[in-house]
Amino acid sequence: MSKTNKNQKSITSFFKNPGQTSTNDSSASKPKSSPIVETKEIKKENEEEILKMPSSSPPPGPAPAPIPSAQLILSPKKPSVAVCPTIQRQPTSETEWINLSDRFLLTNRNFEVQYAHLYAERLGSLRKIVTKAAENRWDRKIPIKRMNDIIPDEECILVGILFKQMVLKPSIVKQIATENGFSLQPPRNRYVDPTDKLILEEETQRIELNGKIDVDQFVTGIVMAIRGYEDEKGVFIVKDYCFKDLSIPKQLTPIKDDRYILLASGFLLSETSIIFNQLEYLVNSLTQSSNIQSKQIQNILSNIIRFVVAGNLIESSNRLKETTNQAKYLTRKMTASSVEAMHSIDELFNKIAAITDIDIMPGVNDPSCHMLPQQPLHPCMFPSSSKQKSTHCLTNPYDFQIGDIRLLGTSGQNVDDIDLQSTIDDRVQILEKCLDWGVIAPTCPDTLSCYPYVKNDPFIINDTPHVFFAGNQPKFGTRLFKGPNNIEVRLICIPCFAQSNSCVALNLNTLECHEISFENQTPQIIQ
Amino acid sequence: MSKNTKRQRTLEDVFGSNSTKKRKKSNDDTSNVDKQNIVNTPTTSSTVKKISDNDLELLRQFDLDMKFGPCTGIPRIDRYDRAIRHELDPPVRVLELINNYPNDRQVTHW
Repeated sequence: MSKTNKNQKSITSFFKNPGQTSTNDSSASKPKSSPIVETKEIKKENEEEILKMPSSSPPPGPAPAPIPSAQLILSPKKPSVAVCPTIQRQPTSETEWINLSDRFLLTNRNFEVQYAHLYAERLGSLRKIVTKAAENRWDRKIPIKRMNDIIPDEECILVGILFKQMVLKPSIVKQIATENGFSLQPPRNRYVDPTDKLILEEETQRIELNGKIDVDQFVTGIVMAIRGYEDEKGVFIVKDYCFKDLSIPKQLTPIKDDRYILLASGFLLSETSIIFNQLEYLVNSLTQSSNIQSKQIQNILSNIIRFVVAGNLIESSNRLKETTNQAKYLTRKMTASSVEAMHSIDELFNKIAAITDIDIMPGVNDPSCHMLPQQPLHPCMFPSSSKQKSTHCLTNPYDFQIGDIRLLGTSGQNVDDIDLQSTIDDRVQILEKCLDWGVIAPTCPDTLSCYPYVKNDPFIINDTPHVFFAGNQPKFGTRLFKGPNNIEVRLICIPCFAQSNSCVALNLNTLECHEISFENQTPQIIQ
Repeated sequence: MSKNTKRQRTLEDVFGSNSTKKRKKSNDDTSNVDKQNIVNTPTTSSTVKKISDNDLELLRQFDLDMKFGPCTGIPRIDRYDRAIRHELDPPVRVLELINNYPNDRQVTHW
């Protein structure tokens, strides 16, 4: 176990932290010195950069409080570096790309801590903000109490983290309890059941919820404030609830020319792929955009400054399971289908990288770690495209800035998981809810695997983005979410290219979205 | 003698001392057994002070106080930092003790 961990550490630290410098040094351009020495140097650079961050940006999470003087006098040996959420930076040019996904990069991997710390961190960081939101929303006379202080039948406000008790949720304990260790139930579309219960948890206690709260519309891991009273059975009857207030994103000033980002996801390449023609059409449309008939599409495709691929480049391979059971001598000459698939992806990206910057995010099927946040794919998997300075391999979730516009997105695992645990049908609605709840992936670590963080929770949305997207969704969906204080966020569900043969073009000036289909030789906008 | 054996039965003995080893420390050659021996026999170094029972009790009370969140698996200093970060007013005496006995594993870890 330690050996594989060491390898993982060397691979990810070998790849230089993307986005810190405007040019991205790919592995091929580095001189062939001993890799061990290089990893140590780069790792030190990463540590220095991470240590520099607290001094340049204000303290994280709740309103910055003065550090108690005791800490300054008797400061501990190791600097207590709280990993700060990356604050939006001033761009030097209108379309400068700034990568703000540092908090998703894993440097030190310690799996010997429990996930309770992640929940404690989430609740602790969001408690103050949610309390303030509750004070703003409701009458100040209603007391905000801790659970051990509540008096039955007295109206009060509680702040805590939600836990949804679901009978149908697959549990490893139940699985082991059966004789053969088979799973008790086949995978379902939804794990929702009428007997599901919502429980609000604090650091010390928990209480069951009832009342004006629709159990099916919530998932585990949301920090919220609830107003109500405790009845004689010990159940808290909810009258109203609220979440953290959205921080106000920077005011956008329209730039002179229209610039577009092309978002795509879910190529799902494998040996049985049938979309190679459509990929040809995509590349041709981008390279020879002057040949396109439609003025509108020509305008869009010739002004693309970035191509973001939101995960699932290859299909998850089922054949692999058969080969692992066979004897080694039979499978010696076989290559996994994923190798060929990555090769085709590399050729595709090579052609696209010649025209525009390309950002590659890993998805569920991709050869990156399974748990969130997924680490960047290694550039050795893209031998030809990673030689170009315009390819960037990034984390999932991905937080970045183009000019003044802040974008945040994932490869869709968070949205898919919330869909499993609740009855929210519209995927764009799920995106809106994630924004409302203030967490990118509230079901981490309950049903979605994630790294056991202790010192920070990188999934908390501290700065409201201007664009929030999720890849690999069943169909295209978009909406301009209008919140309080004139907040407008463009929510985008990027469809899976393998099924819809379409990409999404986002206008950076107006934040309008168009779905462009590459099914036929001539691209068409789908209205 | 009996006092020493009483103090040895801590959580770290039940759950093993591997739990919060930092990766940087894995470069040195001391094995787990050696480390445990170094900590539990303070007479090996004359500069190592013994922590008083009252102080140890204070640290245990800090661990068990659920207001600061879960205590298992992380060093006390990390838990203290988290308490400061979330503005929970942890007792300053805990920080003093952690800093005064940096080599005593009973003090630095849960």
